[in-house]
Amino acid sequence: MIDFDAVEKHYAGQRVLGPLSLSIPQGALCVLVGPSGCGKSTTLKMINALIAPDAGTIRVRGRAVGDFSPEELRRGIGYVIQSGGLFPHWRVRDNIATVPRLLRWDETRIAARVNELADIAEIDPTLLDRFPHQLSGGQQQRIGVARALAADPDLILMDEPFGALDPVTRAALQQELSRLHRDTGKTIVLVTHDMDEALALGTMIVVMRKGEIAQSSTPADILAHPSNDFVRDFVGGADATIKLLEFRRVGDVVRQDAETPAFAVPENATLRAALTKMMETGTTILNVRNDEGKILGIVRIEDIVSASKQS
Amino acid sequence: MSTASLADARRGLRIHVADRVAFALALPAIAAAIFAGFLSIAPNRLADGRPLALWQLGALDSAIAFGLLILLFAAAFIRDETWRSKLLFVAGAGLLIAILLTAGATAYGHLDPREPARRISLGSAFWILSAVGSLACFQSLQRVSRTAKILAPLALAAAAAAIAASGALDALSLTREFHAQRATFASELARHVGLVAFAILLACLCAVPLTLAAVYRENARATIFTTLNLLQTIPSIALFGVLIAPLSFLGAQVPLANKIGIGGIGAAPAIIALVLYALLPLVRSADAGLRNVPADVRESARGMGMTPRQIFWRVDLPLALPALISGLRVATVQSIGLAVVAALIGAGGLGTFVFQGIGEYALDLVLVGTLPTIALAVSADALFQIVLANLRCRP
Amino acid sequence: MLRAHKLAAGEVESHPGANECSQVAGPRLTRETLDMWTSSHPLTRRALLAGSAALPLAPVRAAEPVIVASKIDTEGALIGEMILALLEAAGIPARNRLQLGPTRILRAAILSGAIDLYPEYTGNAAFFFAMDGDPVWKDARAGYECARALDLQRSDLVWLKPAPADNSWVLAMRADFADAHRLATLDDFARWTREAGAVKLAASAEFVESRSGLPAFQETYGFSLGARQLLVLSGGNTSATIKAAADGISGVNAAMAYGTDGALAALGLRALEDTKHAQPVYAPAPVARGLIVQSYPQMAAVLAPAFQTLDVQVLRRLNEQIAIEGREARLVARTYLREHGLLA
Repeated sequence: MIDFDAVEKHYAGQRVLGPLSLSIPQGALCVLVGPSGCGKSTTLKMINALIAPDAGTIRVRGRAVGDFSPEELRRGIGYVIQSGGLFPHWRVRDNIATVPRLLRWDETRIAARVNELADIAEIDPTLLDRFPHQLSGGQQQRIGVARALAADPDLILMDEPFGALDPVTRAALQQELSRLHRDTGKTIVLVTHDMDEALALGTMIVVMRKGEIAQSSTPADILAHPSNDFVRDFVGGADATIKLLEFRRVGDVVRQDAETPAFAVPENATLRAALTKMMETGTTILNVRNDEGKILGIVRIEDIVSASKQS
Repeated sequence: MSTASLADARRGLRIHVADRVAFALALPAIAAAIFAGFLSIAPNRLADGRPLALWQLGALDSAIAFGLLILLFAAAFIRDETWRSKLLFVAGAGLLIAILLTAGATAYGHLDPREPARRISLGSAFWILSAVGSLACFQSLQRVSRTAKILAPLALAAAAAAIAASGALDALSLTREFHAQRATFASELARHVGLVAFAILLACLCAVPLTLAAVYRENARATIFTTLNLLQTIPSIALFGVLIAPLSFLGAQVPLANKIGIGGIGAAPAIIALVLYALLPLVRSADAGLRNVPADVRESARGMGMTPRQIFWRVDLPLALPALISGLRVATVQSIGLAVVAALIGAGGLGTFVFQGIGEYALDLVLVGTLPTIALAVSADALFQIVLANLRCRP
Repeated sequence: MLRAHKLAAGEVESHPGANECSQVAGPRLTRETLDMWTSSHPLTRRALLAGSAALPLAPVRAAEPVIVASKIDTEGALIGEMILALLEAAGIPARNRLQLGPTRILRAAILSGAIDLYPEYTGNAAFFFAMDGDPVWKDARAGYECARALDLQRSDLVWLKPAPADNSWVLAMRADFADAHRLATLDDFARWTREAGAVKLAASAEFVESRSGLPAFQETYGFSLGARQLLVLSGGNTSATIKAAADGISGVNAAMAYGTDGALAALGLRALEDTKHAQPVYAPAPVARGLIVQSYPQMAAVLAPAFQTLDVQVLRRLNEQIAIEGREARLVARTYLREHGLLA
């Protein structure tokens, strides 16, 4: 879907980014993560031609970015920024309708789409006729996402979208984004400096440092096999093991046993959730049940420990 | 006495001023009413007048006026905000109406058929009291609804106009001067408004390229603002005078120019000077407005695929609109005052009466020029404020 | 009453000899005329030259109303209203643009065709044609003829019949003061001043600097006022100077005034006689554009009879009615004309 080929960016004679080569497959939720100044935002903005590279090419859907007119390119890509960037002088519904209006959809189609998006992004319909400053930060960000989805682009770029929100709202919106990604299969490229957010959301994680890619892989792989000390520290060092448990399911380690534990855990719960349940209940063994409630087997704490050590 | 009860006693004696503005207004008003002349009676148009203080008027008139002043003073101490506002308004409006009626009636009383040249003018006490009354009304309307804020002053102005129209003020010198000029007053007023309107229109047109250059081309910005600042410092009379020569030349060389009225004298140099002065407030506020569009809003607009032109028309301009209107307000009010000087170079307008009055040392004739100018400026300002308030309450 | 205007000191030279008027020299004099008008910027000189050549291009207003203007002063209002009333009675359409501006503005306006007719003073022609100091202006008739000839030839402007009044500068003192010190003429004034009498004169800057103003008086009568004996105001408002003398403001006891000022008698001042004719004659006369006189040839006959009746006493009285009694100029003018059967 997106290809970076030896892309470089210079600033005041210095090379601040690159040479960068990266391939983001269609349908991925790719998270560009790294400390401030590592070039992740710059990389993101080269995808929709907000920033032009000084060397190399970027291809979107197979065509070089330079081949499109910038406006045509951008209207086909959703864009969400940290502060939302909602237009303060337009009502919420008009904000959401921005790109459809640029694409000259007719008004009935736009109105229908706005209502549809309000559903998808879980926006209270009464808010549609309000102005952005009348809404909370979380609601504004939700609208920002809805706005990015309005013209149904297959690619969405997000630049630290949840950075300015409180942890509760942030967690809720992260979950919704995941759900959205699963339901629609759109390609999402997201920039964040928060590794935990990256691990929670991403199907593909690109760790960047000082304008170069330190490691690019799946979350589990990065956690289990960090390619250098920087990545290991950035990923959370000692916590990596625990975080890795997020990526395995109980169903993977369930086995049969004669024991009958007092508490149960769903088969598609993560190992971490199972461990947490064990600690909460003060037991070391749990039943595993499926969605209908049928007991499939048991899981022991030893199985969880050995699973975390694997690959 | 124990320290506790001493403190209590002191606290009880301390008088609390609830509204400092009302207090600050009431004191000079009372001082003016006692010491300054309310009316001035002169044997003819040129000679000095004998002052007549408020307390030297008829018993009823003095009583009403002083009563209202005491009411105004008392209002400063009322703690309850609603009652204070109401009292303040009553005192202020009452004062305005009372002094108008009193001045008119007393002037009638002092007319003498044996001295037809006698002139009765309004004295400094009148002006101070009318200023205090207006300010008190304005202060009392601070926390009321928007409709009340517009209707109340309008009602007062209507009342004053009704009093003037009824002939109650005809004995005053000011009214007599106005009557003497009534043949040309309407046309000069129209001419004044026309000068300002045309100048503002032209200034807006000129301001567009200047603003765009200042905002979007950094190297032009310094030059533009330095020039405009410099222009602003030129005394208006000098600028009007300086424009006569080149425009005479233009009018002489280009017959078409002469036909449409561009010569060395008259409206053309006046309008050009007014345009030049109006440019700085217009360009400065437009520049500030456009530069203060939040950067993240612009970035998001750009990222969503708006062309630069679309960003300008759909994002920058609407968000800069309050600043633009603000600059327009300043430029208009400024031009209304400056246009008075235009009379010196044959452009007409309300300045005609001002300079005539100065020449003949007839200060009431000067007022025939200045009071309408002030009224025009205040009305224009109020109109723009209403527009601005509506703009801001939309989002 | 502003009938003179600022002269930059030293910019104009005098041209003695009454035969100047009959000579009607060409470009050389015109250039000097223009010098006096604007700065010596060559561009504007050539410009106004071209301007006078371009005059035939100015529109002819045959059926259009005659635009009547006046200076911003009482006498201008009075005479202007008289002209309007007379034109109206004679069926000539006229438009009121009285109180237009100072002398310089009116002169530019009539030269450019922006106005058609306004009352000017014969003595002012001395400044228009850079001939001040020339003795021809001290004679009423000769001055008028000279002005008429010059303007007709150079600018296509017609000076119609003047009024027999002299509105030149005068020095006025409080009547009681003058009586007490037996001052009736400027000779007496000069003598008293020389004998270190306490005098403080309120006057405009223009009067003090202009060669035909205070310097002319001082030269003719042999006296000199020092800086401490002068109270100099910036504008030529005789109302202010007269008032200052009448009220004794800042020790002023003498005032610059005009011959036809209405305020003199009312405020108890008396003009000192100019027995040696130090001043040129400033007789008010209507000046009209040549094209207008061509379109309305009856104009001379319409205006002349009324102007004939306006002598110094009449003008003083009428000016007083307007400036002091505060009567409307329009009414004063029309009442006067009606009373004297001058309105058809």
